[in-house]
Amino acid sequence: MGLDIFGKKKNSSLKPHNAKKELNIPPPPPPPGKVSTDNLPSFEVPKEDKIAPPIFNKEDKRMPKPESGFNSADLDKVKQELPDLNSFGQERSVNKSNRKWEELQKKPKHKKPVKVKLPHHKKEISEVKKSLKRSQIGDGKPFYVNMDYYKQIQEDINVMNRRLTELDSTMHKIETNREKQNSEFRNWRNIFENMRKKLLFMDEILFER
Amino acid sequence: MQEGMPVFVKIDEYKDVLEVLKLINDKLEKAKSVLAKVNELKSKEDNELEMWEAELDDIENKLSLMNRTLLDPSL
Repeated sequence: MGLDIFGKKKNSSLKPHNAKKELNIPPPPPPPGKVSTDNLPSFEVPKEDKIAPPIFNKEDKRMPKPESGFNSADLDKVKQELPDLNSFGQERSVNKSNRKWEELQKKPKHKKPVKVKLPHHKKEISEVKKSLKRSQIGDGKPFYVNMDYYKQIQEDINVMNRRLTELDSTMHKIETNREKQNSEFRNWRNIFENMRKKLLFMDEILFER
Repeated sequence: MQEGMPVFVKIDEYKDVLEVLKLINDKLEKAKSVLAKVNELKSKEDNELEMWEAELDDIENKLSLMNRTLLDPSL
C-alpha cells in the first residue's frame, strides 16, 4: 500500500484546458525567426542632435575661488629668508647613502649567529679555553723553545693521546664486564632464593611446623 | 746557517699552555683518586666474594651431611 504522494489528484478543479481561462495566462511567445513587430507598442526615441552635453561655465559661482592675498614681493622675501634646500638635500642624501653603504659593509650579513656543531676535539678545546682565566689569555709574551725539546713535547703529546684512547677502550671493556657481572649476580640471587624456598619446604615436611 | 746552532720555536701563548698543563695535572690527580676508590671497592667486593664462597662451602658440607643422614640412617 503506497502513500500515493506523486499520484495525480483525480478530483482537482484546475484542469489543463480550464487553467488558461481561470489563471489568465498570456499566450506563449512566437518561435524564434518569426518575430512580427506589428503588435509591439511604439516609443518616442529622441534623436542624437537633440541630446547635448552639459556645459560647464567657467564663471560658475558655485565653485568658490581661492582668496589670494599673497604678492610676488612676499614670495621673494620668503625665498631670501629660507636656506637653499636643494643643495642641502643633495648633500644630505649623498652623505646618507655613503653612511648606509659603510654600515652595510660593517654589519655582518647574518643577523642571527649560525650555530655550527664543532667536532669533539674542537669542542673540548673551546671548553678548556673557557675554563682559563680571561686575564691570562692574550697577554702572554712570546716564548721560545728549543726545536729538539719541541719535537720531544710533540711526541709525548702523541703518546699521551694514544694512551688515553687505550684507556677509553679499557673503560669500555670494564663497563661491559660490569654489566655481565651484574646479570650473573641477579642469576645467583635467584638461585639462592630458590634454595631457601626449598629448604623451608623441607623443614616444614621434616618437622611439621 | 751554521751547523749545530740551536733552533727555537716561538710559542705565542705560553701562559695558556702552562694553564692547560695545570688543568691536565688536576684531571690526572682526580683520575688517580677515582681509580683508588674503584680499587678499594673492588677489594671490598673480593672480600665479600671470598666470604660468600666460604658460606657456600659450609652450606655444601651441611647438605652432604643431611643427605647422608637421610639416605642412610644406620650410619
